[in-house]
Amino acid sequence: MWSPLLRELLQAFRVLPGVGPRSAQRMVLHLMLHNRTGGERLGHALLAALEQVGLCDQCRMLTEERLCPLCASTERDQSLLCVVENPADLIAIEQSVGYRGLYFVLMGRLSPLNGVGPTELGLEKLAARLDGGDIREVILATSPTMEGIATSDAISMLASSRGIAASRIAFGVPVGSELEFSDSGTLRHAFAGRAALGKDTAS
Amino acid sequence: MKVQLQQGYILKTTPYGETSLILEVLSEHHGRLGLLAKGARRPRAPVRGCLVPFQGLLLSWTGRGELPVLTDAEPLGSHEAMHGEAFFAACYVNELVLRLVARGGHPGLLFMFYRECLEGLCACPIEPSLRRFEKQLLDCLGFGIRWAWERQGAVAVAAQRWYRVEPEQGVVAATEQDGVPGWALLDLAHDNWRPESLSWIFHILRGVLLYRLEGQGLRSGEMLRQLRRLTGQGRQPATSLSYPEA
Ligand SMILES: [Zn+2]
Repeated sequence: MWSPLLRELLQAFRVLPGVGPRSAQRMVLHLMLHNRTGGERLGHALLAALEQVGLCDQCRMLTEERLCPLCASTERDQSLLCVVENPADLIAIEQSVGYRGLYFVLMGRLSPLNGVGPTELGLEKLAARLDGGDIREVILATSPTMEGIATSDAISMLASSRGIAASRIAFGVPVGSELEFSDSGTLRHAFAGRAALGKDTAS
Repeated sequence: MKVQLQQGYILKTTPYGETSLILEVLSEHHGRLGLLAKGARRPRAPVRGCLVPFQGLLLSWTGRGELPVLTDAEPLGSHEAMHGEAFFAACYVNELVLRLVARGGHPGLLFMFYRECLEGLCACPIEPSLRRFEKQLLDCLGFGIRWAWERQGAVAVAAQRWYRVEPEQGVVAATEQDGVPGWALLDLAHDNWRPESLSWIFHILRGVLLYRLEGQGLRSGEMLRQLRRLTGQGRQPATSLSYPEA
């Protein structure tokens, strides 16, 4: 039913997460029948990005430039560095938190048994950056999983051995949820990370 | 075959397919085994979050053969997070078990020793827990050495003499130039983890383990050394924690 080129295209679409045979088929038919210009644009954009996009020299975010737009910006606070596990985390923080500092993207988290160690996470680059002298505080925004916590422990060791303050984002009960439905691990983190009620929080 | 609520620890998880995990497990009554946790990586999977190493679990599974299917997992007791170097030490212990005990292996008391070792790593110091576990693991696997006896039993080791440890023959006489002191071997035999013996004991066990690992060191140890270099501890002798090197 499908010619070789179409069959190849169907297979190709299925590399996308969540795309099964049916959605692949819908995409192929749509592009072939209704939107060939859009398909051409998709093809060009994809090829160009794959060819040119690499990692930012400074923060390891995806970019085709030497420095990503955030690192190149003069508007950002050069003394704050937020460490995240992957680009999606960076984007989430950028979109929801009024954070004005810079980032470092690990592209993973420590997992010695799966071959992910300091080198794989670019910690040499991070250490060199901390040695640079501009950074005053490191904010650890790794996930509250065992490996995420071990990762933030390791980075806080890097920071403290250089006399740089390190803080970790709080983990706790999701806003709008009921306490009794939180699992014990979440509650434990929420308790451990409790904050004093003062002028800052009363507003 | 259905197995219900078995005590076990996950040594390692590997993603499988889009939503599943393969678990390498050490269980109390079924030894080392692999389990397939279907759908465990789905955002709302009930077992999500509890299928992690170092957490005591009650595991249920069904099926025979190479990869039975996990049917349920419940955390057993509260989970102590492994912090800093203890995390690497615990990974090292898991790597050691994974490398030396294949699926289907069931070396006697290993589960109990493993659990004690993890408990020990949560409360410092790290090194005695690691050395004790290495010694127990060798015993469990039938590679045990009679540390207080020459050639596995002929003559008692003397504190003031010097010895060499051969992985197959056991303790043999040596000279000060190429040996270890008898008192360190006696400390190892009697679980006497004095600071002055620990570095000798590390070298003794490292030699035997490297032989059993066929010369291939463990990655967790190499990674801890990388981290130590970056935190400026690289040039100090590794006193708090040491690993067999490649
Ligand atoms: Zn950047």
